Amino acid sequence: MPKSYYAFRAIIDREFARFIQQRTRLLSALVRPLFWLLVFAAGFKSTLGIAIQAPYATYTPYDVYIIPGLIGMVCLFNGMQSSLAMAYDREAGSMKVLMTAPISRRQLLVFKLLAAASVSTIQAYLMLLIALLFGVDIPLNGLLVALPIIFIVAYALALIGLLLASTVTGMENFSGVMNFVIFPALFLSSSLYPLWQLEESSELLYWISLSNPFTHLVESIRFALYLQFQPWVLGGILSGAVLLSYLAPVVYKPNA
Amino acid sequence: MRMLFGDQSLLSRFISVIKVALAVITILFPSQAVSYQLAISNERSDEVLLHDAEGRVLRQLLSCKRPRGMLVEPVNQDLWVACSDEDAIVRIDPESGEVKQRIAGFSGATNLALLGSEQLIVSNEGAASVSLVDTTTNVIVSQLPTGNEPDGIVYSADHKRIFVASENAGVVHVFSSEDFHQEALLLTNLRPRRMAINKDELWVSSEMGSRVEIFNAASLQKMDRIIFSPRGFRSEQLTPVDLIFSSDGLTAYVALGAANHVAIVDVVTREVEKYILVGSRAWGLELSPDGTRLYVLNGLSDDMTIIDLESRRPIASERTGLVPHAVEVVNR
Amino acid sequence: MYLGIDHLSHRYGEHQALNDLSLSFNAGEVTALLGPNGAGKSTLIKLLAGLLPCQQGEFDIEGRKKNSIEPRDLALFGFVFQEPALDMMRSAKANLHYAAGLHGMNRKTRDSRINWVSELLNIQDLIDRKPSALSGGERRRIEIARALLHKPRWLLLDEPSVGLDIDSRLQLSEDIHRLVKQENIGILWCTHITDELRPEDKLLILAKGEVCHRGVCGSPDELVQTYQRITKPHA
Repeated sequence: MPKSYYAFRAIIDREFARFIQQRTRLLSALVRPLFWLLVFAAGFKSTLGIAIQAPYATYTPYDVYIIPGLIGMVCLFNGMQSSLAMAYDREAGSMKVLMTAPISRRQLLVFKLLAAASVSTIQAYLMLLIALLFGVDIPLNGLLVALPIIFIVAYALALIGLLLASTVTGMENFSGVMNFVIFPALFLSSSLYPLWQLEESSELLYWISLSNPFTHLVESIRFALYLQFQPWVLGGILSGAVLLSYLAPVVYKPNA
Repeated sequence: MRMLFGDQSLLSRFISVIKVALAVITILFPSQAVSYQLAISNERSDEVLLHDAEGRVLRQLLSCKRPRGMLVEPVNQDLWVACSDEDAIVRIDPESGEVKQRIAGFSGATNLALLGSEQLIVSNEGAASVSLVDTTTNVIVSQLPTGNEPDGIVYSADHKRIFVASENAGVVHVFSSEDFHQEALLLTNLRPRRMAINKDELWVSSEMGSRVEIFNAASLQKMDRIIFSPRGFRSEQLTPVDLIFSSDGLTAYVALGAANHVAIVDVVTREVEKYILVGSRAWGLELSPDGTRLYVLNGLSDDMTIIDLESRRPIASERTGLVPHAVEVVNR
Repeated sequence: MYLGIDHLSHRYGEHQALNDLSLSFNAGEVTALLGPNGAGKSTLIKLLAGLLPCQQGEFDIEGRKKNSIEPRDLALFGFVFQEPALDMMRSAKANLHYAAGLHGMNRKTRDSRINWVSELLNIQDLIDRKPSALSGGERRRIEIARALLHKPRWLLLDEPSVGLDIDSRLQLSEDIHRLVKQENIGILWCTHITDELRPEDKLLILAKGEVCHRGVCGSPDELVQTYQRITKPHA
């Protein structure tokens, strides 16, 4: 195996070790979406009639509808968290260990992003498992097929977290920025309600949500869970992710 | 990929894994070939539409005013349709739609039941009665008085009794099938609509009572009741109408009307095993010939939901005409 | 094995941190880099670590001249920075595995290198513990061990003994000088603390971004005198 493989393994092992050690982080990563699912969605389960829209072939209960949005939520939060951890590492000096290894900046950042995406994906599947145990009707074959899509979405969101981290200095600022990004991203998207419902109340909000990249990331997960794919959207996400990854070392300077 | 790992085959390996996974999935979840069609009466659009087993509209079979109840003749497989606003019943060829027979004189004909090979019973919503008609002569032989708005008609398993639900009166009339005299009146909860027989049990849906009541078809004693309570619904929203049994008689399916769900009930324990979300105002029900699918008509969303009974999941909802009422399997 | 720096300059905005610096280091030697705060010692280390972009000047790494330190060059260097950089919640061994992995070592190599470095620095008792349970001096030894895993040609230490007690500092000095002899590494040692150095160590005094003195350390008294003599005009 090439040397860069072991560097990648070292980075991802560290990411997993931290994820497992930080119990509260794991718990809140799961509690957050499950709260939406089991408390919020349960209340709306029968009253929010979701009209039939792709990829669904029939009427969908609300708790099924928000599953892709919750996966996106998990990936978004974890993507931000891992960038926050990088900001922390930068301040704490641990980043230097990474920076003085014989791997290029680009490799370093991409490996970090892949590691963050891996953790996000595992969190997402843990959440899905719990949702299944609570009786939410998620197609099992879709869970397998959606895996690569969920991973790509997790990577894209970690990348967005990274680029965001590059615009702020200091951890306190970054935490604040997280809130300005995460909640608008979530609410101005198709995660929690279909866009046609937004359109009914406000055309402006509808267009904002349609332009929100998070909407398209969530929708690609939604389609994948039902064994459908939107080639153009996926192509856009992939090429955007590849391009931004290439440019990442220009934008993000992880130096002390 | 090469940039990162220097291993070109990683990507192609990955793609192969996905291909294999998809192939496995296709093997595990094959689509089945079916050979029947569905006729759906649509009250508001005044038509009977022919659909394939996947729910897609093939063509219009019949145009008549406010078609409601339907019946498939067991011998020649022709379809009888009650055209309520024409006060008539019509027999058509379910393939071509050709009208083979038309009998008038039924005030607000709602539902039909077969009585032997040459007689039909038709409930007259507008005349508080059921009519017995000879289909060979087109003559209405007899009219049996009922309470207001008679709806569903079923027979006991031994064919000795005819049960007719009278919506408005809140009773089920029990007629003898030999001399048609009324043997008894079963008092039910509010607005009994439809019924179904399972061996010696008579199940009656009570639209405004949010429940199904179970009577012994022989002794006519009330045995039991099932009250529905899907989460998040008020009892007023639960308006059970159509009900149907699986061929083995162990499972009952009840359309819950404004609650937008279908209930799957264990006949023995009377427990509701699952509530399945369908469209708006679940109304008419029909099982596929092999019993693997349940077709549910959604009166207010103008569509039909197809439920796969093995997985107990709704698989699709397909558009039909306006305010679908009844569905029958035809052209097997 | 030769490391050269030719005409290196670096500026932070208006402030000139390094001014036309030219130095050379050889393997098998300790070169002490002394200087007052703000002399440019840390800047030099950061430039060698590739943490700062090279604005002006050249590096000569064993005959190869280059304008910047590339990632693959970093395989030749081991760094111990002023701020401790260990994962407190993972064992010292895990920290070492992490660093070794980053340098592209497989499991087998990592295990053997960790064993080697543990013996070299006598940290066998420490590696299974978490850094949070170790003293300052012990943590530093882990960090030096980490910097040696990939068998670098040069070890760059940026004030490694800050915050350590006397015994730890002396042990550190002992370990570093032994390393030089045993492994033939070149060491660049930035420090304020003169009693850690040995008379035969090379001496460079930096002030205001320029080399003010090149020589040997001499005895501790001589070193202090030389230092005061050289840096006073620049005060």
